[in-house]
Amino acid sequence: MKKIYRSIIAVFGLAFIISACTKLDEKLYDQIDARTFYKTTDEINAAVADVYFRFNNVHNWLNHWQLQECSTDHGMCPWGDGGVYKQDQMHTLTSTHGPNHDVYVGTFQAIAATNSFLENVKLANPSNLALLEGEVQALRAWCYMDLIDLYGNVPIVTVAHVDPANLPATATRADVFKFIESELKDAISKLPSNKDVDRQAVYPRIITKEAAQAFLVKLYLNAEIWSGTARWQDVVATADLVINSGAYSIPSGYGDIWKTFAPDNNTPANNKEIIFALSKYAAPGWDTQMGFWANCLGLHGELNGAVRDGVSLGIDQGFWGGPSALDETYQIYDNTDFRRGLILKGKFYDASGKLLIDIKPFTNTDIATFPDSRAGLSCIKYKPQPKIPGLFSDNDMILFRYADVLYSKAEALYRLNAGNKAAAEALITQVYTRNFVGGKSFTINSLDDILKERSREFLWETSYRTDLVRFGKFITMRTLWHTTDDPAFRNLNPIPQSEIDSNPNLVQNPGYTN
Amino acid sequence: MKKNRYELCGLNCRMKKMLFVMKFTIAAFFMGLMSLSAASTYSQNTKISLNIENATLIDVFKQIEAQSEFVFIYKNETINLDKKVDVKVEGATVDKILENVLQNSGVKFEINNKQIIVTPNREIPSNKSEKIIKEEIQQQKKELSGTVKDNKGLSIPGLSVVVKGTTTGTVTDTNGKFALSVPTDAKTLVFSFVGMKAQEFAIAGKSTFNVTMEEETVGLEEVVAIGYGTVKKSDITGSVKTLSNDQFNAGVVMAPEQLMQGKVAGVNITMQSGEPGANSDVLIRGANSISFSNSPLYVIDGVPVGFNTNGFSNAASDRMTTLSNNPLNMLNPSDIESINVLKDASATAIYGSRGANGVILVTTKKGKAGQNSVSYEGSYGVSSLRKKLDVLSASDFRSYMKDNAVTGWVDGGASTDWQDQIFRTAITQSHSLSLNGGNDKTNYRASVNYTNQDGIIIASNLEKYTGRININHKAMDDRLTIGLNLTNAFLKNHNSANPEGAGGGASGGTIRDALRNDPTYPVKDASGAYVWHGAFNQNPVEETLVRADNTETYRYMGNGTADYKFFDFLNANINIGFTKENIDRYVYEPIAGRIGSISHGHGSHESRASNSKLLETNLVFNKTFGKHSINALGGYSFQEFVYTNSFMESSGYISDATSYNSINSGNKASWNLYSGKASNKLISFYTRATYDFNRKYLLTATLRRDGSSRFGANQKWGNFPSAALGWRVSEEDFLKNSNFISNFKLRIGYGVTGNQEIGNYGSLPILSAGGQYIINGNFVGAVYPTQYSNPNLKWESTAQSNIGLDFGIFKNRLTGTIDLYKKKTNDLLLSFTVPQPAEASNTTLNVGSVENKGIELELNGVILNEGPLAWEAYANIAHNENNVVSISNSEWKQAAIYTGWVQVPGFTGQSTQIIMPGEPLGTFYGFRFASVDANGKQQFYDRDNKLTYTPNAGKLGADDRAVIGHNQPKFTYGFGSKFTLKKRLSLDLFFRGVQGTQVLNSTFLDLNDKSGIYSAIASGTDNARINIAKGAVTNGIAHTETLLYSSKWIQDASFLRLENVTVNYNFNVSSLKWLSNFNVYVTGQNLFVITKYKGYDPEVSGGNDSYKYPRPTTIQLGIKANF
Repeated sequence: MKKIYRSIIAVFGLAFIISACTKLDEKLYDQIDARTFYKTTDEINAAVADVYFRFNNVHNWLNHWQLQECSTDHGMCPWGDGGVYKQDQMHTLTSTHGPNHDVYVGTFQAIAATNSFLENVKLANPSNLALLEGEVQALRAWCYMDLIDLYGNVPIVTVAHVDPANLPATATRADVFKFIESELKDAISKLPSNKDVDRQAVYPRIITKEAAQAFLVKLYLNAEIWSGTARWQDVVATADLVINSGAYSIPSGYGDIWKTFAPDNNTPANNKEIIFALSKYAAPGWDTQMGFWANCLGLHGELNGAVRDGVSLGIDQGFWGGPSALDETYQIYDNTDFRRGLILKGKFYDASGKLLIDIKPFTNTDIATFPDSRAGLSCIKYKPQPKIPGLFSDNDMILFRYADVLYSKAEALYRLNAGNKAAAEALITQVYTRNFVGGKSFTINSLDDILKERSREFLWETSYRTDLVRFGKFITMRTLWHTTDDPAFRNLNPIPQSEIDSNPNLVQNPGYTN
Repeated sequence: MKKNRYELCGLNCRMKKMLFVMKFTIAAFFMGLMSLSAASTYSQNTKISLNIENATLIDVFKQIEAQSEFVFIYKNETINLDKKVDVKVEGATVDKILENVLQNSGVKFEINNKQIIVTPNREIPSNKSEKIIKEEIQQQKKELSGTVKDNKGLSIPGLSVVVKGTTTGTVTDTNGKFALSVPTDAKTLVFSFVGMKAQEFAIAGKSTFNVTMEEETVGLEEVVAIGYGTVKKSDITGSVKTLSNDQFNAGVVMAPEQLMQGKVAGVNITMQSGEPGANSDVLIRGANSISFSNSPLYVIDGVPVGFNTNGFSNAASDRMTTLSNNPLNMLNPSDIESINVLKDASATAIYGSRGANGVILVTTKKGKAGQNSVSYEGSYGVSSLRKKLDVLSASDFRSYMKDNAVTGWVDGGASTDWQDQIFRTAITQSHSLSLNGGNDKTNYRASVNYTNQDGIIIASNLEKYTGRININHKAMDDRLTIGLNLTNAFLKNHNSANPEGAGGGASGGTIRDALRNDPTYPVKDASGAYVWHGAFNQNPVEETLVRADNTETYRYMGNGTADYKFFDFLNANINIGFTKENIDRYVYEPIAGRIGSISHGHGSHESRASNSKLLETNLVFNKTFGKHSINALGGYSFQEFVYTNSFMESSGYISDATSYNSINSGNKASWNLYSGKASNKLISFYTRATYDFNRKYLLTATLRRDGSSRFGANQKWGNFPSAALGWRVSEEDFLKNSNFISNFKLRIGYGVTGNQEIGNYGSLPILSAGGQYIINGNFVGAVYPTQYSNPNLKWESTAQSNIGLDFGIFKNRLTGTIDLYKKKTNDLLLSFTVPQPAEASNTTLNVGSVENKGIELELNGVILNEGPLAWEAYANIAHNENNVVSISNSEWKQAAIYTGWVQVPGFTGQSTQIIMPGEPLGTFYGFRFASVDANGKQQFYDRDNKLTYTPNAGKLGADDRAVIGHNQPKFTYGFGSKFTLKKRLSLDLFFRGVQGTQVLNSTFLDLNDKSGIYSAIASGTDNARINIAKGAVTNGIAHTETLLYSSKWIQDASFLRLENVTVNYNFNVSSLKWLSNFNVYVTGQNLFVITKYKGYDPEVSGGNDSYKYPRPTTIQLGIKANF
């Protein structure tokens, strides 16, 4: 018994000694502590994946596309959704417009992902730190280009967590421009050239030096609008860096534009023109499927098995119609232009000659009463993929391609001096000629011709609103529904009201009262 | 004269005996032998071994005394004990040894129980007869005996009976009887027992003592648990309420909190449901927190518990109840000795960051010194629905259809009262057996309980098994006290299919489906198949009976304590505790059932487990210097909680054969699983000092320093101080001799406490996996921040001041307590939208502030205590005023938080309550209903007090909403009386009520919607219609109207309830040796409710009544027997 008591006393003593423990470390079990992550390649890749995942969220679906294309004569969504497409088309966006909010918040979420990645990867300090930083900085710069383009004056934030005591304030558009420029230059200094990487092995994720330079071309091209100062000379100089690097080329056979937009456009044979794209696989998983295809290029089910000139269009998965091109869109092309064939209008037959569908353009001027998601013209710019599982396809979604660099340089040359006409024509012809049997040279009679050709070439590639603004035509354009001019403030979209509510330091763009 | 010895059996012998008794009683259990009479054959059973040479007889006697309980009695001048003998025996009985030893010694012996009387042999010449000598010897030892009872006539076992000024004494046996030999010169006998007044009696001329013990001055000298110690009630400076087990509410208990419901002023307990095992909302002095728990901290025998309480809503099957789990269910109510409620901050500050919502200390029954006893408590209860809701009967329904010429409806041909189909008379039975015993060194209490409680909705049931052991032992000259408490509980619920509103989604649950079902349709068709309609998806009878939905809960709790007294004034103690729980919910919707047929069988299994470890070490100083008395405590505590969970589900089963036992039998594509784990740690240092001057002036100061892993890096440690003063005015000279005032004490206290139930990991930067992207041609899961670090995250902090008065008048026949308090909670954690750029969209910050102030009054009166009829009465009343002070700070601003959804289908996302500065929590916010016009259109007041109609879209908007009611009682009260006739028959009556509160009757709103009567409930194929409340027929609202959430559906929920009536008879069993106490009682619970409220029951958790499982009326018959 005595022994037992002695051991109790011993436990006593021990307990008093243990009492000294005052460590309050918090152990996470089923979640990851951000402070200890970003160590292995896999962990860093998972964080990179998030950056792209966030970015993809904004671009994979209708939101960004609809702000850029549905507000022009390129397209419409013939279904209601509470009138958001009507607001797009009629240029009557308010600060509570849902997709406008989603693009703003989604783009900032992508920026947040880049910020937290940049902050954390620096702590992890991997051997390829500079490369990773360069890539993500370039991606962040692209996000800011989307914002400077749509909203103009936005806060510049480079820290992972916004300090509630010091909420970010609106920066002027010119300051945002300067930030993007310096970031891209920094990225260019860190990124490897196409020559030095096996681009095919890592395509399309890696943003190379040339890709970042191409981003800079886009920035300089819009410098007059975005910063107040034209930078045409810089467009030319930077575009030359890209062109002279030989990193990209234009597939120039007849109809080869369809190769760039084909389901296998990630293959070395077909990705020569692609500078920046979102990777897509038709495998299960919403995030990585071509949601754009399902939503934006949803085709009429009646087109299944359609044949044109004895050749199958490859459509066997059409369903509900999806967004549509306008008749105005169809009319921008010559009837000999291959690209007109990518817009489906009129009667379509199957191989046995049976009429499948007669696709007619919009005629309904009452935009609020679209009855049918199948109204309007279909578009098969992204080449349909036969026998895909579900309604999603493999086509990588293109955000920027080499043709744009050539067109940008041409535009800058022409704007600098109409005397550069020939050089400008030659640049555009490199691309233009593939759309005609036997080839065709492009001729510039006025600056407008360049806008029109951009409209034709980059149809539905989410740059047309930007182009119209740059050419001063966004507020004066005409469609079936947009029949009067807008006040100038419509060149910018409103900052979402909910964001102003949660951050009083934000300033609404002038002109917006609701 | 030779000194005779008699002493109490030593430790070893006691332990052996105790072990024997324990073994014996356990054996007796299983053999069904309840009699414990072991006839004494001590002298024949006791074997003695001796090996001594050349010893005197005295030496031999001493050896025998040392080895046994025998005592030798002799008169040394009459016999010669110096004779030398050699003795060598092995395991012989005492008579055999003595026969040998005393051979030819001139003395003889006689064994009288354990006394051995040695007298001269006849051969020795003597002028006295043998008889006279014997008497002379006997007179030297006087045999005393008697029985001790308490003032209720119950025998008191384990009471000590001692000759004053000596160690000679004994303790009473199970039946309160004692027998004692005392020296003839003994003068006074002292009877003493903890909690009773010691009594002394002169021995002279008496040999039988039948003593009635009186409890020590009721209430005043009661010892009260205050956390890490106890204090005399008279020395308390904080607001503390003690409820002993005889004050508990009797009857069938849904939840252990029900034991004290209505009995403690300022403690508002609302049962979440009438389902067996339901949890309840316990609010002490109003709600402090907006986002987190307002539940008090529960401490069971010194172990703060943190068991899971949340319902398992993840197993997303249609109509699953999300009833939360009640951790206190692990205790058998009859094992609880007392419940102490610490209300104000000066009392709860010793629990620091966990004290803000009040602390409830549960103390279980401990063994009592005395011999072993066995108690049995058994009860049988019958529960039924107190009131049915008035919906149309089949004939009402037919008349309505006829009167209103409703087309498309086809009479189902039956007359079904669906409420009768789902409600039943439910049986509850409970059996408890406890063993209790010990001596002055060791005592134990062990108990087992089995309860089987049916719910009043068919198929709902709770089966409960609990076992408990408490052992205490003193050693090392009583300097060391060690204790052990163990509890095990296994509970098995069969859950009803009533999701209590929130989980109902687009469908409902058993009660909703029953109330709305077409009463002209039968439960089953001619083929025996359940009849169901599109609107319900399932038949209310079928949905409860067909689905397997079981929750199995295992809980274990154990702690060991050791206390060592270094000096009379200094003790050190440790408390090491461990808790463990496993909860599993198994659900299977069979293919054969209606819902299961859609998914072809749906099974899920969800598990939650938790464990906690506790280590506490304390030093206690206690000394009185003249008029100064100091009691000081210093301690350290470490507690760690670990929680894990897992879930799996599948559907698409081939057969029902494996049910939920093989989730992988479901279609692989439907498999869904996840798991998780979290933990938190709390490290604390605390100190408390009480100082008492001259028993008049009392001072208590407390400081706790808490560090929690939950707090942010900059706020890891928080200090929680309190101080309180007490002045026992009645001890002052001017009142000391008052005949009127017998007790008058003023208390004043202030303290700061915290609420750290703010979730785990709230301060850390956390990454989660979600989404994916293609990196280098491979799918890569994306990892992204879901929470930013908040190094400033901390507890919610409550500062409370309290002024109290305790009084007793007319020799404490009327006692009472008044408390006034005010508390303000700051640093409330609220969620805010994070400005962009941010990946995590919300953040939680210490921002808001809420205030509570109130007054509490308790009265206890002994109205009659002389004569055959005794009458005690008691009452309490409390008023609390709650007010939201702020929900913003200079950086983070918001005007209001909208909360509380209308929990019936069709109102998705409509909030019913508002949290805004200037209004209390629980404020209803919505449209103000005006009237119904002649066309049956609803009219409301708009923001300008003008009448407006619903359909005028744009006219009635969010800005027209206003405050339309409060779910905050103005008063809560309880009162009761206990009548006792001739100490045998007693009657207890207890009423309680709530005044001035309102409830949103969503059930009523739903049942007033007539649209379902006019339209087919499934596109054209179903001819049944949806039933309505009787009142809906005449409510004037057109059936084409869409009902809106408005003031029309807010109802007065004040009530007065006859909570409890108990008639108890305590039989006189003094003539039965084997039975010491026998009671039979009948208890009626919830017999009537006076209220204007139109639902099943006005007491509604959260203020939103949407088809809540109603609380039944219960009649219970029970016995309590003590052997």
